[in-house]
Amino acid sequence: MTPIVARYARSKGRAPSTPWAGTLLLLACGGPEVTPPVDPPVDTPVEVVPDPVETDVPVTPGPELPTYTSLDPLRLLVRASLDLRGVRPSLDEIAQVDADPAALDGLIERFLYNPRFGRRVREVFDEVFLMRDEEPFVSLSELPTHWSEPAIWEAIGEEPTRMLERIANEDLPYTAFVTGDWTMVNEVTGSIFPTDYPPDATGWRVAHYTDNRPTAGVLVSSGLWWQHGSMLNNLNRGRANQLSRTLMCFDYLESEIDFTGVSALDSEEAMGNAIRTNPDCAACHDSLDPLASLLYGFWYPSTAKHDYFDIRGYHPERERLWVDLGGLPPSFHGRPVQNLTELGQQIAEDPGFARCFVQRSWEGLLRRKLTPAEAPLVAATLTSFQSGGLHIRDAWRAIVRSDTFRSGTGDLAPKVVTPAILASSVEELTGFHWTEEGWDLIRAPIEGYAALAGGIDGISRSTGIIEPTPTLVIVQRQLAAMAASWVAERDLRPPPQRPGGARLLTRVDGTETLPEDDALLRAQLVELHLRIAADRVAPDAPRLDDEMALWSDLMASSGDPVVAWTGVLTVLLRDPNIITY
Amino acid sequence: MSARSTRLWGCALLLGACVEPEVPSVEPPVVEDSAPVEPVETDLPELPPELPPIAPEITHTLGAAVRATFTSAALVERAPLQALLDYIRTQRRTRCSELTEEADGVMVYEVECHDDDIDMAGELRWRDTAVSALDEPSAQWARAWLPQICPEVDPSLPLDPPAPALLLLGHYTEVDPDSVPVHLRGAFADVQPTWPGCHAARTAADGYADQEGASPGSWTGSELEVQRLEVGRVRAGGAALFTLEGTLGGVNGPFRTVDVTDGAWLADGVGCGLEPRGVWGLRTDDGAWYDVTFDEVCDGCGVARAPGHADTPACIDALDAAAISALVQAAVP
Repeated sequence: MTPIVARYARSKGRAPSTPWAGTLLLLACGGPEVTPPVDPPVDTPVEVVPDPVETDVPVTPGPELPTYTSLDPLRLLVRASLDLRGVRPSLDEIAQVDADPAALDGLIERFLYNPRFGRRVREVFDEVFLMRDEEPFVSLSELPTHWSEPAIWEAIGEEPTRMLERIANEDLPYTAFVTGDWTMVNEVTGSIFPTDYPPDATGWRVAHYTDNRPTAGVLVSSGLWWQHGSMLNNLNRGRANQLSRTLMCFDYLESEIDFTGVSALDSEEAMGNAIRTNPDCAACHDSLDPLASLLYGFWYPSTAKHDYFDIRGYHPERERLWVDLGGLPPSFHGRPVQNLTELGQQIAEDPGFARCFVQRSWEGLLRRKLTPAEAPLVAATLTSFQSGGLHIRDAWRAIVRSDTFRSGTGDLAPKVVTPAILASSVEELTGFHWTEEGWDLIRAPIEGYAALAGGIDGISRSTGIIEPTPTLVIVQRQLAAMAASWVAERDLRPPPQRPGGARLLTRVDGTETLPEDDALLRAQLVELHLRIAADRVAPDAPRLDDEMALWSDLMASSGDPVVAWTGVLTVLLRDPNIITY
Repeated sequence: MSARSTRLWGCALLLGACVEPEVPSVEPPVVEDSAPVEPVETDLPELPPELPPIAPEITHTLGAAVRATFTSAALVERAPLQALLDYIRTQRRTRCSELTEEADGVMVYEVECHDDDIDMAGELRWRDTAVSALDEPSAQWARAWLPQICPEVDPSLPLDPPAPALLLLGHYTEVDPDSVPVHLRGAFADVQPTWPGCHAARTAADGYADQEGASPGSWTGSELEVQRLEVGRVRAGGAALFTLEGTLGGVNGPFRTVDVTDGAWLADGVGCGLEPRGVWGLRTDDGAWYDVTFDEVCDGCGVARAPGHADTPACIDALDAAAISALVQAAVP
């Protein structure tokens, strides 16, 4: 580990936690207690499709890129649906593509205008901003609010990406992310942050900080700086790198540094001298430190991270603390900057800002770094992004319509779900949301199993997974059993007790018997395979024979159709197609 | 020790010895008559466009800003803080706080709490800057100023002990709903050495002291939050000197945040009663900083500077100057 990395790690003040603890707990205890949420309403978001959009997405340049073989229309439908909505395609949508594969483009356009679209943008950038680390810099337990720690953690951690969600959903220019005078707050952060969020309101809303902090969008997000703090000896450098990494795609911590000519770094003073005088050190610090100097309005003294009275607001009187602490005059790319408002404006004008968004979107959707050969992908998408006024929808449309995204070979065959997609797709299928004491167990990395499922929080895991792992399969197995039980019990209730109808068991009511209802049960299974895994299975396929036998055995042993269907649905929800697409 | 240097004013501040700087006179070059010169094309770049001056709403409020800043800084003193500490001691709701008197007379308030001490908001510690301000920097400060305002004092005289002094560290938040909410964080140090004919007091503070319901005209009732503030008060006969260094937030004036380097005001008839000293950084609510540097010419004027603007004169008018002098006289015991 290079010293600069080591120092950054120290500044975070904690060692990486092992992702195995959760597994061991899971295996030893047979899974945590499940707190059943209130029966969720059937979520059928309305897709508002606007007038036909001109989609002059340039075709990805061919010669430099690998040759791709496109997925078949059904697989592509699943991929687009999961990436743009976080849910699997409905039977009706599958039927449309079956009838006419060309219908896929129209469906993709509808997905882009689905209310879930912005949420997907948020989820992808959650893993860029690394906001879902459960160990924020400030002390959540001492905040003067009655909200639970999971609720606070989630509300604080989502502030930056909720801003992106709004920008995506409302087709605001992406520059609003760093220039906007608003933020996103819910009832939890509304009770903590100094904003104009109405005291009796609920839900996420646009709000404005009322403590005269600079107008600079996400750059002045309390959530961002509560999560990413700075210790005294780090002097906001980690925070500055957070901005550089997330907004400009330049990560100082990934820079190669030659320390061979640097000596005597065994003291703070020597380190301080080296970063100013040694060319190898100064190569980074001369541009990083001026950025860090802009962040002292969010500087929390040593123990103030425990002091809500101190951390709740912006501190203009600390803006010039960099002078006393040996910083460099604020600047961005060598241009002097007075404050965060000017920084936001300069970032917005920098071509690298839009390019970085495109790059992060690609990487988020591919779940890996782009290869040098794929650099033209960014350029092509950037053209669409810029020509449309920096609307996120345009960038994502260009990505989803590219040959690379549609590839069924190479690194993209198949993709592995993120914890967010796993959670939302299973919830939409079954209505089951896995929580314990308020923690979202699939998306929380430490209290839950996000790290095991491949989630990136920057602490437990820093990179995504590109193929299923044993721990992901363990999470899927546990989730499948619980979700199956949840949906079977509810779908088999008499119709008055399941408003909105059955989610999965649409053809049966629990009164079926064999051999009388063999055809009906097989028809149900065929439909379930298509809905859950986008698998076309013939009614007489051997696989269905096995599932019929399982259903029959469970009915015979329990006499309870809920038990029988729970067993069958568990098998179906453990299908590899649930975690790959 | 603060990185801000305590520069000595070169010319005698008190004795009115400031001298107008000599302006070197340069004879203009002699231009001889000659034939008209043909314009020559050059590759010289165009001169940059002239920068606009700083807006009058900034420069015209300078006097009010300086007055408000001194007013706020004068609030940061021992008495209200002592009263607040006494209140906390009276409440005694904390099982883990101690206010002790050290052997040298320094009062140290310390809080060490554990998580189960629900009345408290965490442990206490603080950067060492304000702590050290109590000893060595205080001596330096005193020695720097004494020869100027108390010329009869031998600067080599030992300043030990600097008592009475008060030292506060840490943060405290009263959360008991039955008591008056109190928020206290930071560091405070106070020394008041006295010599024959010359009384000095120096206060170093960093943080805030807030008590709900306190008078807005007091430190604990204002919204004042200070950053590495160092206030000096020196009285020698009729002369009163108020020095200022550091940043104040929550100033009740045209600029809520003011950052002062080597700031000072000398009240009374010795020397210039109009000219403030130092560099005054004025922050607008939209985050722009304007720095006014006062020169040594006794005209109440300085030069305002800000990126993207031409240097612009800015002055304190006589009315504001008189008000500031009265304020300083009242603030210096």
